[in-house]
Amino acid sequence: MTLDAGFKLLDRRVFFKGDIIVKEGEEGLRAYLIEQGSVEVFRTVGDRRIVIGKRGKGNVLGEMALIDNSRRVASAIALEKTTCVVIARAEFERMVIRASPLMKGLLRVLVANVRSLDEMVVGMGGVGGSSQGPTL
Amino acid sequence: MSSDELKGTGLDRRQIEPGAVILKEGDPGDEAYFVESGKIDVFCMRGDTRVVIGKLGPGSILGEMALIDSAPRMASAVAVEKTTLRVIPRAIIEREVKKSDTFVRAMLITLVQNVRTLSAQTIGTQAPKPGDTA
Repeated sequence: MTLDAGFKLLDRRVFFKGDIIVKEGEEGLRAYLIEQGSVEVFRTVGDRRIVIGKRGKGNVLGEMALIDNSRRVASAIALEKTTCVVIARAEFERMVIRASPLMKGLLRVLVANVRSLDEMVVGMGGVGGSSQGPTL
Repeated sequence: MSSDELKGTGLDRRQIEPGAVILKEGDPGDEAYFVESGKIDVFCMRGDTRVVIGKLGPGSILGEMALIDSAPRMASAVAVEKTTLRVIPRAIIEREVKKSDTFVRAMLITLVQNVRTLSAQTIGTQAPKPGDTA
């Protein structure tokens, strides 16, 4: 995916393998666009880590809490050296406000679907049906 | 999504009778739908079993994912009562996606991927697989 010229001016952050990028339960202050690398998204239930999915180059991370003003529903850990463009809340809101009503509607519907499916998957023990051992 | 967001778009209305299939798993998608009234079950077939993965009502949108990532329909949808839809053609979605910020586009694609991954997982563990004896 190619980035708009405007993205050249935004902050970038580099995470190393094992770094926690977003943490479940925290307030969502920013989202990330992954430029390089890969991350694993997981939730913590008791002392078990339940993997919900993986994201890589061109994917967005941390968008859910910004779209519906809720707390982070999951954590994300870098699986390798990962570079992200940092999208602060104000910038995020500016972009979403500029989006057309149809795009806003689609974002809202998709977020709601992801949330309800997340709940179902966590209830069943995660992707692959197995937990990933103790959390950090 | 609200009817207000579709005001002035001149989208066609379509009446669906109870029991009629609106979209079918595996088909290429060329339209999305806004539900104006009625009730819809979204389901996947696993062997001969219908596994319902969602229920939709007024204000919902369906069929949008195949238009965003151009993959085949991941589920089918059937009207469970008389339902009125507004039809959103592929061209409109494509035009709007193209006009959007890079980041908004990335977000839409990410969300669609997440829904696909999570749905596959939900169906995979809930439903009997083809060939399983019931």
